[in-house]
Amino acid sequence: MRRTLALLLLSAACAGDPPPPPPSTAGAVLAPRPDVLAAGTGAMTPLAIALAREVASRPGPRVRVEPSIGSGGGIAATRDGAVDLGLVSRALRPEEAEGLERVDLARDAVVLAAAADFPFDDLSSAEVHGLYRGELRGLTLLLRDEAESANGALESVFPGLADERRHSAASGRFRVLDHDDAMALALATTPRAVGVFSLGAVRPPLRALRLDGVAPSTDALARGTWRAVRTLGVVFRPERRDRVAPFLAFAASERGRALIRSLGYLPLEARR
Amino acid sequence: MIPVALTRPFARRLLPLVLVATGLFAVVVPLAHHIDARSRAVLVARERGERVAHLLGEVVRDRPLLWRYDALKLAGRLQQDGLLGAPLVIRDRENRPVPITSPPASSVAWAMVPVEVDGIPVATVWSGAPLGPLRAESFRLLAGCLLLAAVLGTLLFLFPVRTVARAEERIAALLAERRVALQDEERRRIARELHDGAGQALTAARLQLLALRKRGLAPEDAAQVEHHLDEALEEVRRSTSALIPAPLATLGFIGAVRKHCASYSRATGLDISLDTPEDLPELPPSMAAGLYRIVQEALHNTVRHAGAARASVRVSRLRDGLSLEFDDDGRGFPDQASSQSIRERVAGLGGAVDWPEPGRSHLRVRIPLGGAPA
Repeated sequence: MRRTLALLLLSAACAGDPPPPPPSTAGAVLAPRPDVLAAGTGAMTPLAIALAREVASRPGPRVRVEPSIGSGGGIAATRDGAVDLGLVSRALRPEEAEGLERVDLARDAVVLAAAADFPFDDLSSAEVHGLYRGELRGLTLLLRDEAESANGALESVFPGLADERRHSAASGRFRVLDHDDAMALALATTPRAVGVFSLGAVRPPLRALRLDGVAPSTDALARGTWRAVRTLGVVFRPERRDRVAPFLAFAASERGRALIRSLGYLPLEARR
Repeated sequence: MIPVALTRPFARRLLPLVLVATGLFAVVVPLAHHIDARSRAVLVARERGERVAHLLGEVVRDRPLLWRYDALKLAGRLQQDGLLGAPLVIRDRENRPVPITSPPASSVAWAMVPVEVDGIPVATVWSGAPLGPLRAESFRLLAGCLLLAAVLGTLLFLFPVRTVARAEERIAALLAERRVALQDEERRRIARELHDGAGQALTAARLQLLALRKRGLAPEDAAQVEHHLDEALEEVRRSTSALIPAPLATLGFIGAVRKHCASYSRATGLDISLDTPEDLPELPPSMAAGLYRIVQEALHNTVRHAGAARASVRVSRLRDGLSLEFDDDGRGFPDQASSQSIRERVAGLGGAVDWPEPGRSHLRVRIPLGGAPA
């Protein structure tokens, strides 16, 4: 009886589960696969899928593109060997770049996208700021998470917009989406919604808005009149160069560059 | 006063009980609070862990192969939902850490929640409840309970002990009172026996001797026998007077005191002033005898110790009793120890004494009129 009571007291005093055991230090190398695995920023996912589809018709390993895990996730997965190609839309930090090679493939126009019910086709700088401050009644601004590279591209064009976005995000009045696919779905289903997006990912019913009278396009990118731009590229471990070489070769080919342009991106000369 | 040993044994038995009771109170209350608060904290942590596991399950379902590399986005969602305010650890199926930045995990109670997708275990979430604030709160409660226990323990100990001490004093006073009453009763009985027995017999013998003298007994012999009989009768009178002051029976308390002061003044040369009330009711015999003896003892002390030339005796009525004050111009009253008879007589009458300060002679005795034994 006493022992039972003591055990009950002890168990009550130590309520809870055992703490987590020491973590495993093993890397997350996936089992060898016949396919080349690519993952990373959602901004590049449509482009990577289109390129992979073309590469699949050629001899060599197929390329399989996983759902977006962000540039940071793509870089980490590449470093761990979990994927062969990391899709990135931002510059690598020095500690990220160590042991990886990078190849830039295209420039992406960062746009404000909206569905058909959005009442404006063109937004002035003042309206963009008002939108981010929540001053435009009847409109819904959808925000991206802090790590999203599209934020930086757009905010480089509109000084002060970064603070307004952070303030609005902290206020809790705005939805914050974590991925491009979530943003696409939210834009299509939320009345009179607008949000930062990639021109190459804009598909009906979404449309890209003009900013200060400038329409986003690959020509505007090429001319430099569209200034909200980010560079899309891939990273890989040097020892996997052979596995990813067919993909890179096709992306750098004339056909590949034409495909990139047709998707709304501005192809770059393949360079490391 | 008769010693009655109640308080010390009672205190010796009460003290361990009070210490155990208050000690249990001081420890059990904070301990129970700590256990309860810890259980609730773990419950809250488990609910949080289940919410994290639900979100993580969605991420794994969307990105079954590379979900752990989407940790940054997951952390953003967790932050947005307010789920990163406490320690959180996520491990995949192979126990590899998923990098989620949360408060450091020191002194934490954990709740472990497995994450399954379509029945397949994919990860484990450990949601932590920080125990630092809880411990601080429990220690504050412990300090408060210790303080409260100390106060309660003191009250629980002192209140009964003081009650018993008062009862002990009352019992001792009642015993002393009863003893004085018994002594007085015994003295009266002995005095009656002497008066009615030996006194009557001696008186009869003296009358008989007178008759013999008339019948021719030699006057010298008769005078000698008469002298012895007179001495014996005087001895009996002195004895009965010592047992029960004779003037009290004939003069009452005030008259007896007045007579004693006058005769004592004549015998010793002490100038005694007496102040008495006119409307003093008749006192119970034991009280009158006790007060009379106190006056005698006080005057005796004056002559014997104080070397005074003048003394004053003042009897006055109080609302519910009687006051007897004594003073002189001498070196002061002897210490209390040497006035044992005054102390015992006052206690026996249920009264109180205001003893003079050292070097002073003002003595005051207060006797209640209601409760004095007859």
